[in-house]
Amino acid sequence: MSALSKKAIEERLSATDFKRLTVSPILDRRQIGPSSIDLRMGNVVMVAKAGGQSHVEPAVYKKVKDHDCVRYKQQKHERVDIPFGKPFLLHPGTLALVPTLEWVHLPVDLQGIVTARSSWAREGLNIATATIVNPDYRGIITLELANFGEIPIELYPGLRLAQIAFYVLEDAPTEGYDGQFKMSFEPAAGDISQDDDYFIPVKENKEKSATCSDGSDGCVV
Amino acid sequence: MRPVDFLKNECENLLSVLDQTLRYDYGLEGSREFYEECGQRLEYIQASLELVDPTNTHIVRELAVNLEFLSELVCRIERSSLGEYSWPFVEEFKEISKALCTEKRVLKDRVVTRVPNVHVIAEGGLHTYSIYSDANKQLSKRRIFIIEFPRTLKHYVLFHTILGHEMGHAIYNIPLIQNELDEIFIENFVKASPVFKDQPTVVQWLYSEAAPQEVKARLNHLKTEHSIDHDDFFFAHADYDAWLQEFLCDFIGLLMFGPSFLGAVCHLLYSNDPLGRQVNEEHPLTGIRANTLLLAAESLGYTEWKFDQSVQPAVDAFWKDVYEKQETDPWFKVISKEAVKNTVNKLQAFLASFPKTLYQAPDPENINHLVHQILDRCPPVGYKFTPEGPQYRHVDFRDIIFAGWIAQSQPGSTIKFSDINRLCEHGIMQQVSIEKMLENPKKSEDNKKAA
Repeated sequence: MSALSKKAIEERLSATDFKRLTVSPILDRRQIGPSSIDLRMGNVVMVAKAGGQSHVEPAVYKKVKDHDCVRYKQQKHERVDIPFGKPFLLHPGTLALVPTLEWVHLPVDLQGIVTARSSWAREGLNIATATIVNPDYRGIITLELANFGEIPIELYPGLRLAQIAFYVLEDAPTEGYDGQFKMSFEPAAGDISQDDDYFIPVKENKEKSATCSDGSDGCVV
Repeated sequence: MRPVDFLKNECENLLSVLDQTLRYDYGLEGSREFYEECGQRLEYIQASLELVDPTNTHIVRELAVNLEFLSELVCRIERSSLGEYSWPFVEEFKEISKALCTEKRVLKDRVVTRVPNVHVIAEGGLHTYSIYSDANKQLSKRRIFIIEFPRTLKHYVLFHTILGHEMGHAIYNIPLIQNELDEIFIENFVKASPVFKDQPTVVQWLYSEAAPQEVKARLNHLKTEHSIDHDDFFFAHADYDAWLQEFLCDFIGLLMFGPSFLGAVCHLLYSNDPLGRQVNEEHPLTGIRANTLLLAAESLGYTEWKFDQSVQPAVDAFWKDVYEKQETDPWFKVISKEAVKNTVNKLQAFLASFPKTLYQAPDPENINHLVHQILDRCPPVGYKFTPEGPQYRHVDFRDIIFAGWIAQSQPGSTIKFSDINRLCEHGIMQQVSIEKMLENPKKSEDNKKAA
């Protein structure tokens, strides 16, 4: 696996075949560094509601269409839309999901790695997790921002917060690859129990789940 | 409690509710303007209630009506969460609304400009597109317009173009504009129509032997079930002036959004009137509206626009879809193409005085680029990366929507209509950032140098 240089990135961006890399729009050519492209903050922020739930409960992800489980997922984050020119204050210890301004599509032979820009990292801003962007991914990239410093950080949509580097995969599929990803338009909570159901114990019926305040068995599985 | 005391109490309640609305932020620009306008109106009502003679039932009733209207306005604030409507579209549409609805009044030696307060809410229902215009001149410092979107169609920016028609209704409530519009429309459309020139002629045409079976069945139903016959059709059932206003607002919508407006009309209006032959109280038959709009589109040259050969088949397919709605039955021919042309040309000239209002013929190269971006499942924007570096273009948000309509007509395309809408919505938002960059001369120059 080898990393793309600036020249290789620019060639990929202007390619017209299946090797084309899309990062749209790149508002400043200096966003393209020696081996990465800077990514800007988009206009939505999803902040975990501190008072919403007592803890993260993997069991609620096992059931899909249940009132309490849906409520848990829907109320987990507070969504804030932020226009250009308006600030968002990220407080210490807060986790916020934000989309990139750029729309990204990786060709089937490239993998992306997203990291914080060092200038922001020095201020305490951390791009927490999910650093790998899989081949053929199409959509915005969700940045999991966390303020590791001791003072709030004011953020504005359009600021360059992260960067993405690209790596060529060995034995990658070629043209005609059927992508597994749907287009992603805004950040959303992931499914933490996907395919791991068998590790999550079945709770006794009538047991009050952490997410069911009314004592119903809605979230008990 | 006397009525006047009850109203005073209700003022206290409303003040409390108004304060509670500030628990959340609404709209991109926040809620200050709306809050202050409503607060001032409430103060006026409260002051009037203190002064009014409690036995003067006429004024007390008038204040009650004003208070009730204000209460509705205040409660609508809470139904305007940003997450429930497409704010990228709304921000662009607000620009047009403000340009169109800003009022100027000459007061002695100075001109007072009143920029409207545009507020947006989402409501249930598929056909809830509407704009509430605030006609209360007595109380208002600034006119409030409330734009209503269907909650379920939040991301469907291609349909949102139907708001061009609703904007027509809104500006028709502004007296100065109404006079101008009436003059143009009555002179060029109403008087020139062999059917719509007056109420008796419309009734004669509706009840004629040549009318379609669906129309006859409906009129027969009105007669047998509601005792409404041709003599009192416009008295007891339909509203002639409202019918005329619909044609006028259709033309305004078309001029504002171009062919995209026709696309939205053909989808939304036919969704609850598949044949387009329903006789409605406030709307003329959908089939007639579609026919008239097609004549207008032809008159404005929309159907003659030519694009790149890779896009032209989709454009042709778009127009084919629209023309399928055309009623060929001679009964539906209610006006000549010449009269429609005169009307839209005059309306176009009038609306040209308001910045950003008219949809301009798009640059074919722009449309070509935007359509291909959508088909490539990328938000359509004025940006592309070439071997020479990034290139940027100014793009009107209406071009993005038109490109969306073309892309959805692309023969053989498998991209879903909902995805096209979301891509276009995202593109409108991204284009704002590109325009910001292009407006910044230094940044724009830097990019040129870097290239």
